[in-house]
Amino acid sequence: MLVQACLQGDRSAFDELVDRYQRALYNAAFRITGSVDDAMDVTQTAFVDAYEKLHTFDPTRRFFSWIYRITCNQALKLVERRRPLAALDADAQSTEANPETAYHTTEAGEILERALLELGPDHRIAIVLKHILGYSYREISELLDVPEKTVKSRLFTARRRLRTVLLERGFAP
Amino acid sequence: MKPERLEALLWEQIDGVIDDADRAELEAFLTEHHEARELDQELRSLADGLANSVELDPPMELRPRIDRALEAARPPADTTEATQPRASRSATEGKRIQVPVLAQTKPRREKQPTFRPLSGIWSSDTKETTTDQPGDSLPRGFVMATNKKGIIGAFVAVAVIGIFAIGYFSLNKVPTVSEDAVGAVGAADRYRAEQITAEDVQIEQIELQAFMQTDEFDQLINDPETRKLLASEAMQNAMSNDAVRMALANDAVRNALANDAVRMALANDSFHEAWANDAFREAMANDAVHEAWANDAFQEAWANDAFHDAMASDTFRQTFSSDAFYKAWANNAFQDAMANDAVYKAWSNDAFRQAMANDAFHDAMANDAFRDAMANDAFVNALGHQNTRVAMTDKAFMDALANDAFQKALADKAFQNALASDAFQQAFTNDAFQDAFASNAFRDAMANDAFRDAMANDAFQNALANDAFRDAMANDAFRDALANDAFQKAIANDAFQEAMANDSFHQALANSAFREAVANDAFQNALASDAFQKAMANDAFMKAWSNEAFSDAMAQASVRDALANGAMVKALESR
Repeated sequence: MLVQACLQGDRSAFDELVDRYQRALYNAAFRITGSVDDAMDVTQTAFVDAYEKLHTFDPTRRFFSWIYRITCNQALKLVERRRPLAALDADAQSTEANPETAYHTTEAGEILERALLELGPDHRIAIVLKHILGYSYREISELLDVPEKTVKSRLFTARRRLRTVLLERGFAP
Repeated sequence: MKPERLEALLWEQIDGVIDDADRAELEAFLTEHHEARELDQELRSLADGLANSVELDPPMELRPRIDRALEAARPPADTTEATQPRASRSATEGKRIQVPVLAQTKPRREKQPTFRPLSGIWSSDTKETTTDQPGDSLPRGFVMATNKKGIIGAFVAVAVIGIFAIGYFSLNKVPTVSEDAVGAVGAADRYRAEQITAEDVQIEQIELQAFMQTDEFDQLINDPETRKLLASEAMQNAMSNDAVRMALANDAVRNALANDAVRMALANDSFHEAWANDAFREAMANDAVHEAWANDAFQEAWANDAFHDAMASDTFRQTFSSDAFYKAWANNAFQDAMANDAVYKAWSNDAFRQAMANDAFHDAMANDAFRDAMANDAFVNALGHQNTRVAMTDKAFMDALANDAFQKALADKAFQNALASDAFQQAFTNDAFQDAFASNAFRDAMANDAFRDAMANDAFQNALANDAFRDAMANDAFRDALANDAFQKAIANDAFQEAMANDSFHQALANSAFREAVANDAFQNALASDAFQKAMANDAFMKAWSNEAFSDAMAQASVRDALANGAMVKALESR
């Protein structure tokens, strides 16, 4: 309904979509990029892209799935572009994070977050979607546009890798 | 129970997707094995830790930033061309040149003035009016349509011609005209004889006069990049060429020249060199490229440094002059791809340019599936990868591009994801894999859904990273197996994928008896059985292949036939 209203020229309808989804999209973007600034850029770009291309949106699908994919793709592209320049520096990333958030208030949370940043983007996003954002295999498959089987195998590898990183850091979950 | 299976089942239990049979098996195992219970506890703690991660509050400034960006954004479903500069959409897009476009520069295709080369200058078939730019040096006798409906195109034409006239007659020396060009432009000689003055030309068209007094026209005339372009020898030589003049007689080209980014691009040294190139000039005379000029993505490409660098390359210019390249620009997917950073990056790469100059690549560009693939993030990411670009120069890859099965595979998301994966990229650099890629059996396999799904699977990709697996791919028997339905069905199976990720499987692949067995009908029938797939995932079974006696036995047709026998499979199941 909101998408339809927006397509008929009601900008306030899109504002409502922003209200509704900016938090989830920002969180996803942050988990992928590991940077507050990048997450803001990605979230902003995703909303603008979605707004400009709203007429291409398939109304039989969920708007959130669509914009979520746009966000993930933007975030992954950003990470990919930066990958050759510098490997993710977990220390730098964590100091860049917003100190007002409660995210790093516990030592365990911080260690886990740093370990996540050491995973490749595909693996990180699989874990974020499954464990932090609570999506099912099927939903992740739709969001990432990969077969459920791929989600399953990717999650398996990602969790293994995460455990290895945690163990290397001397932290047993 | 193998550790991998235990871990997989534990996660399935934690995720709530375990089926009853597996749960019963897992619970029985947990009861008997203390270490398994410890692992269960460890995984649950990890899942809890992740689930308890606190959700972040977006920074306060995010919402106002989004609002500002949306204010500057193009409204949805607005398919009209922007006539104002678009605000930067995000910091991530900051490096793209924003393209301010002159008002009313959209080509008007209906009833345009029909310019034709006439004595080296353009004239209209309709009512003619002699025009001039006040106080400047438009060529004497320049004629322009006054057809109202063509007036906007005419405005731009005047601007362009004014610019070129300045460059051509005023800024520098008189250009040298080649012998070949004389016949075509001979009558234009008179324009070189004297300096044009305002008195030489009368302006009767009020709108035209008004336009010439606008800031936009002034900007065109005074733009240093444009002057630099016009002052260049290459451009002046180019102006003596029919193809260039024909290009400039085209509305889309003239309108594009009203674009700052395009003019800046034209002033670039690589482009000057390109103008001197026959293939490039021919391209400029091509109708398809004229159409492409009207395209935003094409204009943006011209403003891109990587595109300039590419222009300096003969191979790229060769591509540039191919019909397939221009036709591809008319395709939305191709436009999206061409506006992508990874593609720009690829352009600056020799291997990619070499690939682009290849006929097979041109043919592939004419294919919908390939163009759709080019617009796909995974494929574009793959293009950004050095190994892909190197692979693209390989005959096997180029042949594959022209292959139906490969093109079908390219349209498949699973295959696109596979292409972008590190393991797959690594495999591209491997001779054995390239041989496999060139084989019909492998391409047939790529046309198969199960095989493509398998390619996107981590286990398969891990297997690709393994030397023995890749070597096996170079083996005809194994490739035949890859193209076999039963094998493809097996590949889609979890147990088989587990087996593929297993070292013993890789070792077995290095064994000729195993590879022969894999290609054998009886073995493949057995592969289709759950029990056999489970057996394949079993270390002991796979290790047996490294045993000489076992592999000798498997080399016997009668033993392999026995594999297809239910009793033998049952025996395997009981292992």
